[in-house]
Amino acid sequence: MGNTSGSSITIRNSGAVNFDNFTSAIGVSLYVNDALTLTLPALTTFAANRGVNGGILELAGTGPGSTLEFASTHIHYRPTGSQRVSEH
Amino acid sequence: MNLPALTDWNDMGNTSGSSITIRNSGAVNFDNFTSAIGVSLYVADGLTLTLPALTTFAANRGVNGGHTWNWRATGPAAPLDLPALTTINGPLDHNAFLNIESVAGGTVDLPAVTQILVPAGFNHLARGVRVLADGVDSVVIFPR
Repeated sequence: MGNTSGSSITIRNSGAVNFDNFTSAIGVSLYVNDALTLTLPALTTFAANRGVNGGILELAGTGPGSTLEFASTHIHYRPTGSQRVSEH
Repeated sequence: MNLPALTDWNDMGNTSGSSITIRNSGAVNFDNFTSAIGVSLYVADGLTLTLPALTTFAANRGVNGGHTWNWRATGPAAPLDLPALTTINGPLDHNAFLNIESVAGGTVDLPAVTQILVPAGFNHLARGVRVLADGVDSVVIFPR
């Protein structure tokens, strides 16, 4: 709700996070590096926030084998306001 | 350090200077500590930092921005364990961040967190909550 582009989840260098029950993300960038996989099996809503001043929300997998995986069968994506989503 | 009667720690100074650190065989007892505002947490050296009663955390305003609060577990068998924490509130002012980090095999265990919020704040410049897992066996655990 901060309408910023500062929140993020990052995994790299064999690190891991468990977000098995994470259902809704608003204004959160996601970064995967070093051939890891970040899976969000329960995520059904992904939205940019208002993004005053035009922040960029990023979905980024860097390097071969780095995978950002949304296991849900349906994700509701809402771009809003002035914020852009950059998919790498 | 044994402070079983401590229930609230509120850094109303809107700074990022308050912290709890255990290392090199140190220990703290904050068994009834339920609310923290603007407090960083650090654990290393194979120790465990558990705050069993902590239910709410908020970064404070961070006047003039640029403040960072860290929860960091460094190295194997050194978990930062917050079993009752349900809500994390991020910072309000610009260029201010709460970093939740497991590094070099560390574990941050947040099994009850259901919401991470960055409230509408005093301006709209960058701020937020950042989660990082960096290194072999480094893990940040949210509810399963």
